[in-house]
Amino acid sequence: MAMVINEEHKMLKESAQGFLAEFAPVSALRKLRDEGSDIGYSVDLWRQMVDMGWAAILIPEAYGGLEFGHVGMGQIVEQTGRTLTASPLFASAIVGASLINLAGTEAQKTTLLGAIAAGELTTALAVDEKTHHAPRQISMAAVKRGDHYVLNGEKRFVVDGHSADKLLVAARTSGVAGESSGISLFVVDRTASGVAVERTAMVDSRNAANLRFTDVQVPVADLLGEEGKGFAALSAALDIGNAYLAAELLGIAQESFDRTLQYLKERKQFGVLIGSFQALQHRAAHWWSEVELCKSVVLKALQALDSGDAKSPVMVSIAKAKLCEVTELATNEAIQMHGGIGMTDEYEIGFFIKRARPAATLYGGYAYHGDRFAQLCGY
Amino acid sequence: MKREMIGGFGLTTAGSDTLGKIAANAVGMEHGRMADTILRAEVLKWEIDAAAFALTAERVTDEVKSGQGVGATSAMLKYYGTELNKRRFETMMKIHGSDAMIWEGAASKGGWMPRTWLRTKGNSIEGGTSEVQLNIIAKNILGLG
Repeated sequence: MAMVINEEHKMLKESAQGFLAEFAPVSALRKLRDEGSDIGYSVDLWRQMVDMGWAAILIPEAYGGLEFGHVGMGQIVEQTGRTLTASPLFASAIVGASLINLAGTEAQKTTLLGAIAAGELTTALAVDEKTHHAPRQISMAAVKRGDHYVLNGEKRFVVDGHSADKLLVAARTSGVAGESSGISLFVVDRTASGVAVERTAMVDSRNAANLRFTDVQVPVADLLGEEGKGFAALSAALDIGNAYLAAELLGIAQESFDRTLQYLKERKQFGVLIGSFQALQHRAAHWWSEVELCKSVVLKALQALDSGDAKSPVMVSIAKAKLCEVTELATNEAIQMHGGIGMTDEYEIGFFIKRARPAATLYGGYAYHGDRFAQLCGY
Repeated sequence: MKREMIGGFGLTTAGSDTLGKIAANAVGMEHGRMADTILRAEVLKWEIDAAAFALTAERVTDEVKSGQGVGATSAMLKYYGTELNKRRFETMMKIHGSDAMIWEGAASKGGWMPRTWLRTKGNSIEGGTSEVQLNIIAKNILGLG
């Protein structure tokens, strides 16, 4: 497959760029933060996104979706990285919809996917239990009692966990932490009895929560897929999530670069533009080169997912690892090259580093994906 | 043109083992991972960067073919490709340890490893140094005066 996007994708990218720049720029995130928004995103903005069909892009036509694919959705998500737009798009329309589509029964897909596509349902994936991503290290217990499962345990860093209608929970019905077999997936109402939600205020001012489950009763009908066999779908959904985190990080790397390059062409020191200093020129040129590599790995990961390539996990880990590395460089260089003004809250450049680290950490950073890449390559 | 140039950097030799496989064979495996974990980290970082670079060369070529590219990326490919090749041989030297420094004799194929490693130091000098490439990127692509 040629490493280029087609005309339809280009149009979607441009329309997303225009829409987000007008309705959801960085100042919108600042406003949500400063106003202490309860849900952490604008319901009006989400409604507009849904009306444009964004929530339906990954959902099959049979369940009320557009089935437009990952390269298409990736163009939108890359733009949300440029504008740091907060919305349920990632947790519901990407990760949630993908997991339900991969693991769910016909009845679950019909009910849940249609509602996500219509913007009537939001979801949050509850997978990690410790501070580092480890999808096999699941201890949360799910014990079958009659027509219910009873869930006990804790989850951390659950994106949209305090606002989503449904929690998609990975719990263990057999085996021990570290094993991939024995993991089961459940659809749980966030307001179900025994679910304690603690919203975590994080550095990026975005949504996340820690959850505690105490004797939470889940009807057997809300088991997502087969008991004990949830890991394959979970892993595939996490690959999809990581490809989009890489796409968002690509937007962050590009936007922080563009803003810094502009600053190098405006700011004068010692009577000359700071962009005339070779010390900064070479660092900017290296940074730009790294961003060029990032564009390629993100596109390749999205294309691999669209074509069902067996190498998708490798491509996704390459993309996520590379983007973790380069956005660290990008956001640090952005602040250094902006100088003192880069340290202020009034100036927007600092918002990019604050979002870059949580997005990199979610579902595994460089160490996780580097290790996974090597293992997939046999060493 | 670019594909040939990149082939010339020695990054993609058809039929040869990947750096990861070479490393795993040389230092052995332990609990399913390469035994030397620090060296493993260096190897995997190189392989990720090399994969990203190869995909970028492919993307640049495809963009030019489809009329989307600006064709101004050859300085970046030269800069990144030669730096990658130098890193590759530094890592190869670590993988092969003391054997990597044997300069003469049939067993070392006439000192192929150390001689090739030292030759790579010229990659980022010949055909325009890395610093010249960075200048070209800064001035011609980024418009920094």
